[in-house]
Amino acid sequence: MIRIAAWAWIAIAGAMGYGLYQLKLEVIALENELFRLNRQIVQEQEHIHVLKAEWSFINQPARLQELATRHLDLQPMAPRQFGRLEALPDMPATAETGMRATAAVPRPAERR
Amino acid sequence: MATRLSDIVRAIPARLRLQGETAMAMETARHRLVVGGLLFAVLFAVVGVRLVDVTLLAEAREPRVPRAPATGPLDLARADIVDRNGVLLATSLVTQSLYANPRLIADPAGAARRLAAVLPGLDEKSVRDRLAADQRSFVWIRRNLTPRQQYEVNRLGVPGLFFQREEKRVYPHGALVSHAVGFSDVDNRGLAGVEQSFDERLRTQAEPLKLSLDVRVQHALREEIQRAIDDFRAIGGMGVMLDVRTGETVAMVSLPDFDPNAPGLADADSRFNRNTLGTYEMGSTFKMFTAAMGFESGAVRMTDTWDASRPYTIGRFTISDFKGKNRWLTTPEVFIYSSNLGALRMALQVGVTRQRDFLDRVGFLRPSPVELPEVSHPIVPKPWREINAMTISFGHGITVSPMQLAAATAASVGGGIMRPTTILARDPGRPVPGERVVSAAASAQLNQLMRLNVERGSGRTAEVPGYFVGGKTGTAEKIQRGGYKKNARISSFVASFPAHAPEYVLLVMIDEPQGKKETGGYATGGVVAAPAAGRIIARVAPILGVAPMHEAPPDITKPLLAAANLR
Repeated sequence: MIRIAAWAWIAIAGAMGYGLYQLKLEVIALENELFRLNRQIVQEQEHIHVLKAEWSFINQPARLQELATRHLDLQPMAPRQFGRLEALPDMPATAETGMRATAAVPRPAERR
Repeated sequence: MATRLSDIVRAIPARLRLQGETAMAMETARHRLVVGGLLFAVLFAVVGVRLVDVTLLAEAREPRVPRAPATGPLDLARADIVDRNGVLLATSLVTQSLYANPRLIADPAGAARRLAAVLPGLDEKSVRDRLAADQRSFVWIRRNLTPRQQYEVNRLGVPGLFFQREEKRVYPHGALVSHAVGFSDVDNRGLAGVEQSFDERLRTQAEPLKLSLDVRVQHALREEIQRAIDDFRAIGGMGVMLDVRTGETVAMVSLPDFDPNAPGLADADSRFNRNTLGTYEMGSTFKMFTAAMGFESGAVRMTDTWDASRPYTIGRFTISDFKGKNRWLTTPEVFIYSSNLGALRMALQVGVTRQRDFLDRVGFLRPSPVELPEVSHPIVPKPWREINAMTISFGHGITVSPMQLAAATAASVGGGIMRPTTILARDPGRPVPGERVVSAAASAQLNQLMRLNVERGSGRTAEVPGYFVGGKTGTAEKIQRGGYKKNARISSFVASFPAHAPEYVLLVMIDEPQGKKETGGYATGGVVAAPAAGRIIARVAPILGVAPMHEAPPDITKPLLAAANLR
């Protein structure tokens, strides 16, 4: 009787020891993973920070202006190219075709 | 002495009975043992309880050693500086700096030679000397290496070299905002501009410091002022744009400027902020204030006429008009022909005390409140006599900074409320501090004159169709020791737009422009600064959300024309 109990306890202790060991290994592995991930996060943050500085640098107005003049067929907007919504004439009240009526609205360029 | 142990043992009776002194001694010993035993039992119990508490109750988990690096926002020594739209103006980048421990370096000459090979610009001889001085254990070799340089140095494999994580301040927009943002040194101490005035704030708080500047407006201002400088072969120029409603500095340019990423390479002139540190005699732009204080005090009305028929002599001074009309002028005429004599007569009407009080209220008698370390005191006459009042009426005999001029203009044209000038973005939810310096009526009258001056007077070249610019030109001789400098002037233009209810004030000043053939040899404010101001307004008004008006511009000048003897 005593012998059986002793063996059972030894078996339980052995199993617990093994389980604990496995758990410990797992925790170490997870901690390493956490360490790696956190370091990566910090690195990424530093990279993002550098990229933000870079973004600001390549968005210098002088540089954008130079690129726009070289590559885009655009010009600065003249004041007369602005209009107000209220300044648009009302749509003529033609009952049957709303679409055709829009043609009666003068185009901004003709308005002046 | 011959007694043997066995004899003694044999002498002990079978049942030992102690009596007398011996018994007492045994009793004492037993008590001591019991007390000692109890004491230890208590201590062990305490240790046991604490053990259970610590391992099972208080910290019922595996002890955590903080092995993993902490995450969270980047921990930098200095906060970023951004413009009003969040564009990054200054930030700190993490770099590695190289230092050496000379005691660990066996071959200083060889190490220096190999370092010089991978770090261009390194003075090999000085590094060798420093490495050879082995009574020290720390010498900097080079601060803020690029990642590539760090790799190269690592590859050398020289023992005794180490890297230190450091932060380098970078200014992505370079010279564009140099005078406002300023710069800091290699140890991250602010040495100029906002970097200096908010040094403590930048060190202690992590969130970015938001300035009131707008880099887009800043760029337009800088480019157009540079163009005017080039056009008229000037030695420098400055420009300030203020938001009338908040006192915020939307743009501030002082040319020549410098690259804050390498401030050591800049000369003193480039690092000089002409807008806040420079003080100048402003010339005719001061007539705005003469008119404003006249309207305010009731001493000047639109319909009044002023004697500008002949030069005014006081003591050894003779004051006359540039291209004068030599007749009596109405108030609007005084303004648009920029008559010194008319302004002088107005100042006499206003009186010395009221003039001084007014200029005090609009901030000309104390340094600008703008949060920059480079702010100088205005130079004002002491005592303030009648002759001073006369010259000040047309902007001479008092030197102020361009920033002060812009702020005072903003107060005078913007309904009469003086807002403290700031370089920081204001919190839109909070009321802007300010105090009334002119009545709204006087401010409206000044706006009429400003607009009239652009429609009919010296400011015509600043007109931008649709934006309804108002403004005043100024051309001031430069002062030098003992008098005025020959043929050296500062041409300026102060603009407000839209003129009937100004939202922004723009000041453009060009330092020592030279006349050219196309301008008939002139280099006055109307020829040099006003066209630049017009171009700037045309460029920045859409950015600032000022809507152009085409259909019916508010005609605020019409009532003046009859009074002004103009058609």
